[in-house]
Amino acid sequence: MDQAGLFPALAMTRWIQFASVSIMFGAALFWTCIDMAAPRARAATARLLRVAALSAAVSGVFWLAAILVNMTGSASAIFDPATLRLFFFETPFGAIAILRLILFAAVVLIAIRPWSNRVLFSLNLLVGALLLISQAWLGHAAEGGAMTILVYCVHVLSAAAWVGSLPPLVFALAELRGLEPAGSSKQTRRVLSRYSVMAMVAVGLIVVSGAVNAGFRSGFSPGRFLGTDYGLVLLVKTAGVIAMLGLACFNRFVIMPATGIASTGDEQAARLRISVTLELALGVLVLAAAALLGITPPPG
Amino acid sequence: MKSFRTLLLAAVVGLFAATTAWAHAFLDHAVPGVGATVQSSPSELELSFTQDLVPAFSGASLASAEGGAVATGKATVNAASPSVLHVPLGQKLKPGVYVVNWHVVSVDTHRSTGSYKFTVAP
Repeated sequence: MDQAGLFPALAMTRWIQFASVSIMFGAALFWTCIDMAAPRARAATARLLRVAALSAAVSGVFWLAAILVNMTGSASAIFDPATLRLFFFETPFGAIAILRLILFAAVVLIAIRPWSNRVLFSLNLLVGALLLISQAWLGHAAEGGAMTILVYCVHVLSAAAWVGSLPPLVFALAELRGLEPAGSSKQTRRVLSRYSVMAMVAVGLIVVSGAVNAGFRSGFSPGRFLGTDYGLVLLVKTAGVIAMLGLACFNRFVIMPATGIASTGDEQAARLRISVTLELALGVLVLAAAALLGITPPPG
Repeated sequence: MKSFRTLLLAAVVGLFAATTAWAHAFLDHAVPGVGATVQSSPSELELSFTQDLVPAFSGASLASAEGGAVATGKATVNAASPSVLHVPLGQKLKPGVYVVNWHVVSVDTHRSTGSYKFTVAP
């Protein structure tokens, strides 16, 4: 199988993996950080986490298979015991691949067992974090030392915290819509206040770690990105993040204060749900760019 | 709404088609050099790459200009210089043009391939 033919499959499996694991980690983190009586939103998050966990397991196995096919140039390598032995026991990333397979098995158990919501959220938070961290050894970060790995981990964990926490925020806002108007606007502002603290920490870490990561890739000479495929994908990703930031600021500093005004509270709450949903859609597209970036050659 | 979905789909497909060259370890230099002419047969080929290599999935083969395979020893990577591939020849090369075909996997799991020629002078 030629590399050009494998490229879309590898990019797609990475994208689905990034989105699934981000939801596992971020959605679970949302309910860990935000204490709120919203049974329907919690139940909806639990259902989403089970789907995300299964999706993470399937896409993760396909990603490892795509890596092996790419390395050998042959799809039959997946079923060749000698090649599998080399892959798992004679490469720097073999141990990480084994660990991830164990985590995928755990993820399936997490998805299908009837855990309470509290246990389900805790397990997703833990396993989601381990899956995000272990990605570092399957991409560009593996070229560097401990600092490169650390910065990568900060970047993916904070990105997952931001993007993955948006679905439960949408669920929570939808549930609050059902309350009587005064209670709804008060609760909405309370949820948004807490969420905005969590999001601002995540965004700060994303921007700093992303800039340092880009520095590692370019030797801290941004001009080297010009005219390269890597630079193009990085530009698309950065534009997506800036658009998300714009929406987040609009939500925080324009809509959120307006939800307290009795005459327009409902209208602003509806606008907020649309805006957060749009932010989530942008986040998923940014993850697509991230999936591409990891398999695009950095500037030479 | 339908046109928005179509636009979104096109953007994603376009994004995924944006890059085709995605190998990550590039040949930096070689001994004998790329396109070089040497006065006598080398005892080994030495290929230096821009990234550290995974020995289990890296190697090179040698062929004459006409395409006939030339036997070599097994390619190795020294722990002290993990970005350099050594290919012992085990025999003296006759004067002529030779083609080196290499394939390597870098530590970030990505595979790259390439080839170059060198000449052994008469």
